Amino acid sequence: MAALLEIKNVDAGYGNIQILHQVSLHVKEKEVVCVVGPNGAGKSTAFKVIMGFINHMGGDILFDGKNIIGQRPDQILARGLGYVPQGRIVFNQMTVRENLDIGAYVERDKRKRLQSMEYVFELFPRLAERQKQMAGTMSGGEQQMLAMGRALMTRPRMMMLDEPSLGLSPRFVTEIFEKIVNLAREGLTIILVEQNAARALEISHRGYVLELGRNRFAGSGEELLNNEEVRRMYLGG
Amino acid sequence: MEKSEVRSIYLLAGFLVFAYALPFAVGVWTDSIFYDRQWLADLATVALSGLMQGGVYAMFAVGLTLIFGVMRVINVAHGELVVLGAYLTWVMFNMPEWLGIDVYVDPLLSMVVSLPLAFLLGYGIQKLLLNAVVGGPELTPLLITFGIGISLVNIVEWIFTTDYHTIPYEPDAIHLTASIAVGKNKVISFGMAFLISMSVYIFLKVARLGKAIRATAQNADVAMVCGINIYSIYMITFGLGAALAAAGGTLVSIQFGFNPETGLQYTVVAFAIIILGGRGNFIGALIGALMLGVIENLIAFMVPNGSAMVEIAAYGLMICTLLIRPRGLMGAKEG
Repeated sequence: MAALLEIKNVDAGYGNIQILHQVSLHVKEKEVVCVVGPNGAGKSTAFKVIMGFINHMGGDILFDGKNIIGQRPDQILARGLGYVPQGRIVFNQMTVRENLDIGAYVERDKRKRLQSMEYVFELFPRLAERQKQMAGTMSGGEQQMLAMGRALMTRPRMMMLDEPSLGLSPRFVTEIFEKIVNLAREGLTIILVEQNAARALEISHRGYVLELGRNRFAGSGEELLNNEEVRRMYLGG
Repeated sequence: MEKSEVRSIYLLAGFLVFAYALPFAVGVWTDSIFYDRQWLADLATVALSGLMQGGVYAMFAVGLTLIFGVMRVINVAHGELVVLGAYLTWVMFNMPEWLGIDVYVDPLLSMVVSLPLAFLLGYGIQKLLLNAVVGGPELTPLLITFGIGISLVNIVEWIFTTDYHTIPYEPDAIHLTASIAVGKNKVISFGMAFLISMSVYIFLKVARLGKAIRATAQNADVAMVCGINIYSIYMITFGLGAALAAAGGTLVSIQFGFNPETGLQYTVVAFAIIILGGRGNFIGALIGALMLGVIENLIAFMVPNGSAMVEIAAYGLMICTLLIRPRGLMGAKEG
């Protein structure tokens, strides 16, 4: 099966400072793939270059077989690639409902937006309870759910999650991982970056280890979990 | 809220009380205050017309704060857009006479034409000149708008010379009591300003496009991954800001004199207001505008030869707010 997302030998960085060197990875349809590695490995940078936020310096980026280099994030979203940025960023001064509605800005049909909202509320009942609440007044875990719900509003084929569990309480970490597993079961293709590497590898089909902006290891979630070197370096034993 | 934040808002409030008391103190000191009914009625008249003038200022300030809030661009050409709006209204008002037709074009009606024109101009400026540099160093777009402003002054001067113009409009006064009165033109422009700023406020709160503008202001990167084309939002926002400035220009033209060089004064006024109210904050801009309008009129009224001192009010408020509480009354805390 052809890969849904594929990046090949990508160089990228901020301004003139190169961060990614010849990074390659791919995600097949309905797969859950995670990218792990120490701080500064270029995990989030890889996501940012895919979405077109930072300088692409070389290599191929293909989504659904088509080159997406040079496209704006809103155009990439319209192709079916959703993105949940790091740090549970929501529009603080808007209600939960407004946040979700904005998430589907590309969708002109109001009925379809309402359908998507129903779908998100089913997935995250807590958001349904808090529809009219200002997003800025919710807890970190709820904001992360809102950020994920917002990215699901366009019903994307694939979702990129950047550090979904970062800074959350253990209870919410568990809940967020459960949601990711549920989404994957429904057939959503997922790639995630996680500092919580052991946990992420457990739920992933495959994983990549990046180090200093280069590919270091790749393999199935299990292989990486059992790899001596990966365990010692990134999983704390 | 942090302790220093609480302290700075009290300090700013204290400073504002002091600023408002200052003209009274000067008045007492120079014996220009009389403690009789007539003087009190005059004071009420002055405060009222200050409030009315603040409404006009709100038009400039709301546009400027919108542009800053969404793009973090400081539009130094804002006052020139105000003057351009005034000229457009003046031209349309006089056009029938020049053509020898006997029709009366109401200056307010001219906004039907001048606002869309200003919107297109703003849209074009953003598209052709600013979109390429937004998001880079903040000085670049500022210098570009500075250049645009100077060019506008010169173009307007080239077409219309530096003569002062004004439009005679509803010169009667409305008497609230026997001795408190305010010009009808001022009341009408205040009402107009109120109507326009409320419409824009509701548009931003309720309309889908308005929400997209607010989303872009709050976080442009996330707005993009929601599917918002922020560059198109930028163009619309600059267009909207320019149209608001032009609306302010129309309201200026029916009560004050203007010439191509008046723009700078209005740029400063708009700056002072959005700094006082909080850069990027809509309601802050409205409050700041009313406050500046009132204090300017108080100074002109109580300080002998005060009209020469009026401009100090704007500069003074701006500088002191920046020193005491840079985010102003209602602005968001800077990163």
